[in-house]
Amino acid sequence: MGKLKDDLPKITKKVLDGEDKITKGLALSLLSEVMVNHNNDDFYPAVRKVLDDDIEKSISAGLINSEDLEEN
Amino acid sequence: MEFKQITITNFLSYFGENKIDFSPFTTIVIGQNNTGKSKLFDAINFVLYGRIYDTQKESWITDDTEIANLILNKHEVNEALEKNKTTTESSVSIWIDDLGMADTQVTITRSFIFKISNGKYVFSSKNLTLTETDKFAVNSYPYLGSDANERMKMYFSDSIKDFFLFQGEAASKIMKLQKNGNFRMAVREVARLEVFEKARDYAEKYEDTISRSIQIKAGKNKKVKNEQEKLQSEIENLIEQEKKYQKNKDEAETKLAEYQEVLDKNNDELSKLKEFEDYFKQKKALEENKKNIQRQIKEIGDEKFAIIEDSVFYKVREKIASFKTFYEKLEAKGEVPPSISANEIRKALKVCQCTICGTDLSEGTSARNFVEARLPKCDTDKLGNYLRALNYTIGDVEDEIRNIPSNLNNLLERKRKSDTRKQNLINDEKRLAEQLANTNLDESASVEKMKHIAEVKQTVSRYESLCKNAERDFNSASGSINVIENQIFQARKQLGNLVADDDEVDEEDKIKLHYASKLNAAMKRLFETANTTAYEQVEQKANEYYKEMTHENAALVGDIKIDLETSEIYTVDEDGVRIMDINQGNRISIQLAVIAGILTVAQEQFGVQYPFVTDAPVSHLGGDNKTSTIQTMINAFEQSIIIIKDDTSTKNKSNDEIRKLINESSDIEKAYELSLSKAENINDQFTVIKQIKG
Repeated sequence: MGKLKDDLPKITKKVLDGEDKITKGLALSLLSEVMVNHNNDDFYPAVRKVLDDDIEKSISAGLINSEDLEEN
Repeated sequence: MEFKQITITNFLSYFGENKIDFSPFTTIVIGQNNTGKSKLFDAINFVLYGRIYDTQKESWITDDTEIANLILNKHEVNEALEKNKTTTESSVSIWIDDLGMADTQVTITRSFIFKISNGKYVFSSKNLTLTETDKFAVNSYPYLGSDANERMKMYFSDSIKDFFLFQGEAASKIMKLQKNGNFRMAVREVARLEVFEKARDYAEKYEDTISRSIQIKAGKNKKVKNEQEKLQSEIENLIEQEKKYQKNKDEAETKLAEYQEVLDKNNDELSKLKEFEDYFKQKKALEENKKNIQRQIKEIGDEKFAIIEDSVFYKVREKIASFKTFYEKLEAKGEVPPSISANEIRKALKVCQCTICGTDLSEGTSARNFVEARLPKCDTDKLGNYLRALNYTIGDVEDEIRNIPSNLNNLLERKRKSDTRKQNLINDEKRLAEQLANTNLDESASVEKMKHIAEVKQTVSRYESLCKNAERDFNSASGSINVIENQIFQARKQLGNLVADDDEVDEEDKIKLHYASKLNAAMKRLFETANTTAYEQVEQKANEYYKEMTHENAALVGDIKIDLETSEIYTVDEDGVRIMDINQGNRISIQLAVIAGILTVAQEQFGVQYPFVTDAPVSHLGGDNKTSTIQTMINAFEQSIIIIKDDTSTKNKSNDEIRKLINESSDIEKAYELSLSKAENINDQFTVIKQIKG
């Protein structure tokens, strides 16, 4: 059973393949946060922080801006 | 994962230390009622999951005190008291290989310690130890208490325990597809659905949080704020409504599960009683057949009598013919008395002329001489009338007799047919009598049993109706929820547009909301896809196993369908139509295929194949069904430990189909027979294990 602790089920890649890079990155961050906190009751604050940070980093890096939103 | 050996000590019916070695492939354990079969199954459940099965309540006991009250072997209690032991213990130890960790074997021991108090042994403490051993270096790493528990959780899945430790009697329960039912929980774990579900919920929450935070900022614009409040309130109302319908849906589902459980239980009982009902139908038919035979035998007897009667007449034909010849000769000679009376003749002779034809009868004429010669000397009128009447009768009898040969042929043909029919009926009677003798059913209180069958049928009918109603409520609530979810989606979309149009909201907020919304949609899709794929995977694997069984057994047809809408597992024909007429044997095969499917998907996910251990649900199956079901288990699972009731108490053991299977099958490498030790006091009896193969 230990195998699952590290690996995401195969279906994840298949479903997220259709998403843009930013959404895919957010999804993987969210999933890994869920898996790491598997045994904790409520870890939403940690999840929110990770997602906020990811988006802010992408904005800072110039990967996204509001003009791009329509295209995405 | 391979179970190598179990050691059971002073546990339930097992006294002292008892070891059973398991084959890497198939091990069969047989035993008659109350010899320790289910106790062996309990021992495996006890050591791995700390539970034993309560057959009365049809549920698992997990409470330590309740378990402690039951498990200490009675014989051990007596011996320990005699030897003045201050403590004693019940324990089960299992040695397992190949748990997915290379070269590591694991030994798990769970024991309950009892201390003497006021002349009784009272539960004092429990121990769990898990020892990992390096197969080559022979180094041991023992884990105790909570550490051992953590390791146990790592090795043994909680959700699929009821599938690889398959309690036959509880089969229908674990096949329930209802929300939070065992089946859904198992699929949920093997497909890691809880990860996707949690991620989906947090993605939704994230979008809501961002949206709300933006709404607060955007609230400065009054018009937008009002519109937002209206939409927000609408969304909240819709959420409330959705909760209400969800509650209705959950209630309907719970009711459906409850009704279905009662229905399944009654259907199972009906299925068990069916044999009894068929037996009585068969018996009734036999009795009617017997009456029919007796009636026909009587008819055949009557026919024979008629034939004999007719034959007798047939035999007198020659005598009758001889009488007619005799009569005709007499008549030709003129010796048959005339029909004219003697007085009339005398009168004619007196007047010398025949009073009828006028012939001259004068003295000296030849006519007078002829008449005088034949004038009877006695009264022949009566004799003449008699002979004439007799002659007519004989004529009629002769006509009848002429028809006798053809009638006789018909009668003989009928007799032949009757004899054949009689023989066939006698054969039927013998066959049915043999069948009745073989069924070995207890006929006592048959009237009550038939009454019980009628009651169970009534219950089944009532619960079928209740299930339909609950299903209707469930579908109605589901439909309403779909409509409301769509309304919520639309309202949120409007709310999102309002925010996006508002100048008060900064760039970063818009970007966050945009991606939070996309993330939410992606995680919803991921969960839905993972959920559907998981069931499809199990269904696909189950069908692969089912096809193998179908190949071996022509009685198994169709494809297995795991239907989440109706929360049922069934088979469909090539046109996708549900197959309704499924007997108990086939139902077990479907369940086994689905279990094999789940265990295979679990293997793919966990990297570990679980052994299949079953207190087999085959006792009430007929000979062929029983052996083919056992064969199915052998084929479907890599390692299987099958515990079966021994039915040979009244039969010759060498003819027993299970023993024959054990002896002939190369897949079955080890087999054991359980019996009870001999003792005057029932409390002193304990399980004796005899290895009969391997």
